[in-house]
Amino acid sequence: MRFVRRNGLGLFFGVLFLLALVGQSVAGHAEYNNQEVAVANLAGERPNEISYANYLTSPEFSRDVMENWQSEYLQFLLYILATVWFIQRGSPESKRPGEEGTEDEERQRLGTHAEADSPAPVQIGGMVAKLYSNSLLLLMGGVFLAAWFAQSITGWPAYNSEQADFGMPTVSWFGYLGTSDFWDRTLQNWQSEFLAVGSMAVFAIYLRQRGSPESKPVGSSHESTGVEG
Amino acid sequence: MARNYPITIGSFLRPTPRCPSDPRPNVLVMRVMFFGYLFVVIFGLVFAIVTGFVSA
Repeated sequence: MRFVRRNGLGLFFGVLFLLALVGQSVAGHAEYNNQEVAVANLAGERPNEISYANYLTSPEFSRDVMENWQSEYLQFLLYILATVWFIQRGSPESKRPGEEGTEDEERQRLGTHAEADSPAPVQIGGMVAKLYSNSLLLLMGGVFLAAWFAQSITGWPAYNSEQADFGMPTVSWFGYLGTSDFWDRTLQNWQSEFLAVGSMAVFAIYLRQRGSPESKPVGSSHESTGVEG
Repeated sequence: MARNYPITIGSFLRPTPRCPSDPRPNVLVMRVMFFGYLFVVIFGLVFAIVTGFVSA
């Protein structure tokens, strides 16, 4: 039980992720077959419905998963980067005015300021420490780019399949990158992420959640910045 | 401050000395959580990319 209590946040979201993914696959499978039936009826043909297992390995399912993944990782990538350089007065998500930038080595416990319990790359110093200093951003950025590429590479055959259903011309992968389908799927996710993350930073100026580190302490003034509850 | 530590993935997650507020940190559990999430993300990406190439 101590394991669960001490890792509750990671476990909670891990379980939620798996449940939501299973739910998405079940609903997506049903929707896929509904579309197949509708298209077949229009064409006066026999519907080509697929099994659940086939849907899981279809480009349509992977595309739908990846288009959300890329936008989530982009959101955190930009949030990590923007909070280094931008300030939002009154927000617990922001550093205090005057603290913009990557900060000095003493504050970051780098170089001669490394401590006995500092991570090994910090103890090593040099390029290794520099790389480790940006490791979170690099991972988030790498996952974002990989997921965006995965969205394009799975969206492409899915798009061509729909084109073929309606007797329309298919496109190359580069051609797909210029289609409204690719950019509609990309930007509809980006806009919601940007609004949500901006809302989080700004709403927390005046609103509170007692006990959450994402909020200021309930009694904190609205003007206090970078104070977490 | 440079020291000759071997540069491995494990060295990035080297256990830190005990601190008063958490006298027996379970480093193994933290590593399992970290690599568990990393595995899920990488598996999902590879699965999707392979699916895309196979379907293309």
